[in-house]
Amino acid sequence: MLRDRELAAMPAQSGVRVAGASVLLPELGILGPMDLDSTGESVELDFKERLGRKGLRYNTTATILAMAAVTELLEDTAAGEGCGLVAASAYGNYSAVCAVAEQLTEGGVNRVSPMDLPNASSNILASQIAIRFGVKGVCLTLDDGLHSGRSVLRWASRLLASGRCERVIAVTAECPSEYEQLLRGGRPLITGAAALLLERSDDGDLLAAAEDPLPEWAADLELASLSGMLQAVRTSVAVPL
Amino acid sequence: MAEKVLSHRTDDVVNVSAGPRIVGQGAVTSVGDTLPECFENLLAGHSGLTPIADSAAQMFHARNFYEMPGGIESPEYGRAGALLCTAIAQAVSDAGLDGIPAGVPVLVGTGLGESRTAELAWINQEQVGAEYLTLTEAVRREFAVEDVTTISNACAASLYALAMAVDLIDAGEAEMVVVAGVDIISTSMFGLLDRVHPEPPEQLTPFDAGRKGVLMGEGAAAVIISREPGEGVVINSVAMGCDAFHVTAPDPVSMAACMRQAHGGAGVTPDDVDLIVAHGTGTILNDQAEGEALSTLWASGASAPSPAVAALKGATGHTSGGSGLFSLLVAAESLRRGIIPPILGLETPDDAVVGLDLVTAPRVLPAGRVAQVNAFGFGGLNAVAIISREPQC
Repeated sequence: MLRDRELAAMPAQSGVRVAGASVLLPELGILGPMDLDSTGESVELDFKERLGRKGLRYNTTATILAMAAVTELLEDTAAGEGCGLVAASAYGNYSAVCAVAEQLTEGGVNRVSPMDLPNASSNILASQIAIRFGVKGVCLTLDDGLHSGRSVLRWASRLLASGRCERVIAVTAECPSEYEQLLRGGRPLITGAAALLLERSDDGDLLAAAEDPLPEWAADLELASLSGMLQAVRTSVAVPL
Repeated sequence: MAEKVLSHRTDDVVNVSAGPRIVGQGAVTSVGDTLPECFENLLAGHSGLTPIADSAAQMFHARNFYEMPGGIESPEYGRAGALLCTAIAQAVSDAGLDGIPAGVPVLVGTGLGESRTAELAWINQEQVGAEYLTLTEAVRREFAVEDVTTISNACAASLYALAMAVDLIDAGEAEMVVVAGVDIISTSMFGLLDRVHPEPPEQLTPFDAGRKGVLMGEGAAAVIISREPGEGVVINSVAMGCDAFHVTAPDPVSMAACMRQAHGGAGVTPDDVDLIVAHGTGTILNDQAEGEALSTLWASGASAPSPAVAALKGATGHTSGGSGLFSLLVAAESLRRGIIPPILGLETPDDAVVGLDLVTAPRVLPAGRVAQVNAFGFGGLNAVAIISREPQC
């Protein structure tokens, strides 16, 4: 996680200032915004320590990764008044949707667990983050498939520009599963989450930063909703921009 | 037969704020294939409730839902996207356009998106490809447009999409925006809702004391809004909020705050509102919380008498992400035509709504100017829109 002090040298972007950034790509050994240039050994994260037992119960892995990234971003403090949330996970809840559909087909309603109900709704990730961090402003979940990361940045910028929000948490997360792999095919899906704390500013271009190149390791993976987010995080921490 | 004539407001002048105008609209639900057909059938008290076909019924305790023809038995991928594009095409045609003009953004609200496609593909063990798993790509393919965003905000989604569309126009980023909402029944969501019902509802009965819960419905709604001045119904404000309280238990205080925020944005007071189209899902929790929220602004003890309160889900089922925009189109039609459709399935009002003027038979609304539309969603999402006829601009 990087906060205002470390990011002070960076120019404002597209009416938006990056006030904080966090990245967790555990399987690539990348655990912070400064680590994005190269990969390391896979790391097993202790989510119980990061989120507490209650943070893990009945949540999907994508939701847990996103909560951990936002915890790093906010240092487990509340979001506060005027804070909005824009989130996405292209494939985060397909496991729950497909597994429940299979259980119903095989054994009917008595086979399914009511605890899966929240995970069948695709805004579960944003909902859990809003509750955990007290986001009472605008709470948007976007589903633009592989373009979701750039959509998150674009609409976060607009929420700030319109005055709907004073700050916006932008967060996306993905986790591979047998379900998404069968349904979409293609390169293996990345495991991880990225989060940015965005504030209003006068000029600059956050969306251009989302188009910056990533290191070679990214070419082997489907970044899905992390595409654009990782570039924006990496550019944000480069000094000078 | 029309109920009593309602005119609770004494003055005829409401200085509502300006806003974009509705220039095209479309809808398809289990009660009609077009918006005029839906409206006529709502007025006539027709219901889209259908028995669940035998092949699917064996999975569920519930015996009925509000599906479109084909519905849950359809083997087709991309059914949600197809329904969405039907409603958008109607709105495009209604606006007198040949297609969606270049550069016009499209915002889609949905709760479940193409979840049903994912379920079918998984059961069939077939690859459908990433581009068939999001509604955004369905709209891009059908209308050859680029600027499409899908907002996946549960049952508040299409009003959230409308709010973002109004912001685009206010910011001068767009002259015109297409906003749409859609949901079809997925087996996972229907089955999980069925699992948590103590007793399966035979039908959806909004605000009824004996309500047993929600039954899903299928439908899509679309609207084209434009900043160009003219006659018609205007979107004065859309407020968005989040309870940050509980994923499935709504908070009446946050709901009421969202209503006040919408009134503030539109420059109206509770006394100016002639019609409310409530969310009214027939669940114990929503209808109690929404009833309490409405009662803090309008029922006994509040400063303003209750306007007419309608709710549509007794006829259409809960059309999830599309329901907010469908409610808004029906509210707009009620303002234009001066008549409000009844709440189907409501026999004994719940204690939480006793002070509210619920519409239980078609109601004439001779001088209706301002309507409020509610949509609340899973995860504590609240959205409230204020619309009006004859803008003061």
